[in-house]
Amino acid sequence: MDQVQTIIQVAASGLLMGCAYALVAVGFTVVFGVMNIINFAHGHIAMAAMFASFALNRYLGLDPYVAALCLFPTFLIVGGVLYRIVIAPAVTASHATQMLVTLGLLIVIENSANLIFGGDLRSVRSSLGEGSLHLGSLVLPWSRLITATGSLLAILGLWAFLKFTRFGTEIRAAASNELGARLVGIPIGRVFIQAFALSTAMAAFAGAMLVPFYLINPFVGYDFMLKAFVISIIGGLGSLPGAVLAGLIIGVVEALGGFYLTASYATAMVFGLLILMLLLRPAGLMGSFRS
Amino acid sequence: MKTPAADDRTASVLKIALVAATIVIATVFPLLARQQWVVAGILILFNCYLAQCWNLAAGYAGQFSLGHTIFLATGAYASTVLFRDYGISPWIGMWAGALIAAVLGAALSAVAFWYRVRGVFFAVITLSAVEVFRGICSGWEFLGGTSGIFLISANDPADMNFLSRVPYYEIILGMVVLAGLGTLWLERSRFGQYLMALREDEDAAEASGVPTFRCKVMIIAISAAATALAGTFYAQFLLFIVPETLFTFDHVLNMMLGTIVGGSGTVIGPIVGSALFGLFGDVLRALPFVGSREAASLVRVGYGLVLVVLVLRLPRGIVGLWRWRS
Repeated sequence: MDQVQTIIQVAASGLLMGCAYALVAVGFTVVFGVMNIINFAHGHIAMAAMFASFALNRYLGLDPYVAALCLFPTFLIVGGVLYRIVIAPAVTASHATQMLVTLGLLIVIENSANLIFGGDLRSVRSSLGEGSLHLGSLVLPWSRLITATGSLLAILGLWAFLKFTRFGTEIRAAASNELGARLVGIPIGRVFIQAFALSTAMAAFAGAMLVPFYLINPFVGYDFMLKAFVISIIGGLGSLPGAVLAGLIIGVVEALGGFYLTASYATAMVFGLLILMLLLRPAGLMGSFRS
Repeated sequence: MKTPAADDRTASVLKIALVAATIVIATVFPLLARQQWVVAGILILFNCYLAQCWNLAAGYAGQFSLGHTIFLATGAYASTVLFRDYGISPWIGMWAGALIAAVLGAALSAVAFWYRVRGVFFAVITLSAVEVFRGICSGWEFLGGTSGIFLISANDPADMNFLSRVPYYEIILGMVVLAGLGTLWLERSRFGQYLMALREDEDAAEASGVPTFRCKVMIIAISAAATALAGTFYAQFLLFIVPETLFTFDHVLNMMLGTIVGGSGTVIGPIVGSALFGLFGDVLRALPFVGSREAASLVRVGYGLVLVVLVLRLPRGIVGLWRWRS
């Protein structure tokens, strides 16, 4: 009986974490779907937002959840600027160029953070997320519940935005057939900048939502990048429901694997799964418009 | 009266003289310099060599691997374990490592290419493979787990173990020179021409009779074996191997930076690029008013900016600029 309870507890924590992972991945998957660009700096944008939240908390005393709401619009602008300066010149270039540009961005963000904040692990507490919810024997910290709920709401919001607004329809049109979208008069340049800005803001929001219980240092960006890779490829590049499903799977697998195996073998398994997926079913679990 | 052919001949004689002079200067340098500069030189040459290895696959064949740390680690673990358990000299162990890495590289790339993994997805799959191998090496006690394997420092040239830093310097310099000659040979061989053809347009190359699958697998195997030799050198130089320093993404970044900045798909590009980056970093670190952590971060921010600007504005690298002018 005890064993079952432990498994449920671990799996529940994994599910909550998985929601946040899915949020990290959705922006990545949107940029890939629309522009066919793998943004290696995606996780580092989330990391930059974590440090922004840390600074806001330290100097203005802002609660991390309030900071997350402020950081979303800020990073919309950051994303637009980044796109104009760095990504736009590479959009029509070769894949190697695109990878190198985003890798360059990754190096700049990671080391700027290291320069300003140093490599120590830092944490921020949220007064909104104190305490835990007790459901029978299950103990769920409020901070994780708020983050998981916020993540799912944000993903739902993104989905609704893509589905029901004019901007969203344009983005989907560009994703499914760029040439066709051009021919019917959709301004592709504007669509790309919007999609990249949105993706950046989603990454920042994800990072900021994780702050109350995730230790911050300049190198977590790399972990987020790998998570975004795994989740969006297993879920199907460009698919939002796929990202949520894969995020939950990865969250649970990581939690159980870390509990029953050593963490390093669990990671090896996750990436082994990813490689198999890439080879056997590159379209992912919920393969979308890309095949 | 000068003919164009004579002009060409003078130019190539000049080029050879320049390269020979550089090699001579580089060879005598550690005999005159202070130890800390010798160590700095070793690290720069090490990065040059890694960039040369990466250039073979990425520069000439266009196979953009982010997984070369796997082969670096293979070389390091193979020679170290052979020495630890069987007393086999790393001079021999390094070739065992190269062989294992070649087989590993061939197997990994054969699977990937068999499933028609190309371009970005090849990069993603190799990056994922690094995480798999990092996980295995961190968890496997036989390889020392996360705490790694220590070797004992001794003055034992037969086991590639020196107290002085100078022999290490000469070894890695020799490796860079040999890799340069190997690359030159590749560039002029039929195999090299095949690789460049498939880099430019794989479908067109295949249609004109280039065995693209075999060529890609072979160049990854060669590049992997060469990288593994550097792994043994790395293990013997530090006398300490641990997954954290072997599988770090920094090695891959250095390979890419050096190659791209110098000029990918050229013989001297990776050497020029890595040397410039290394010197830039060492000069900045030597400045008295910057702390070491700040200096290291600042150097890397500079690397990143230079990389972005160069990739967008000067895609053929420094060497490409010089060629274009002449």
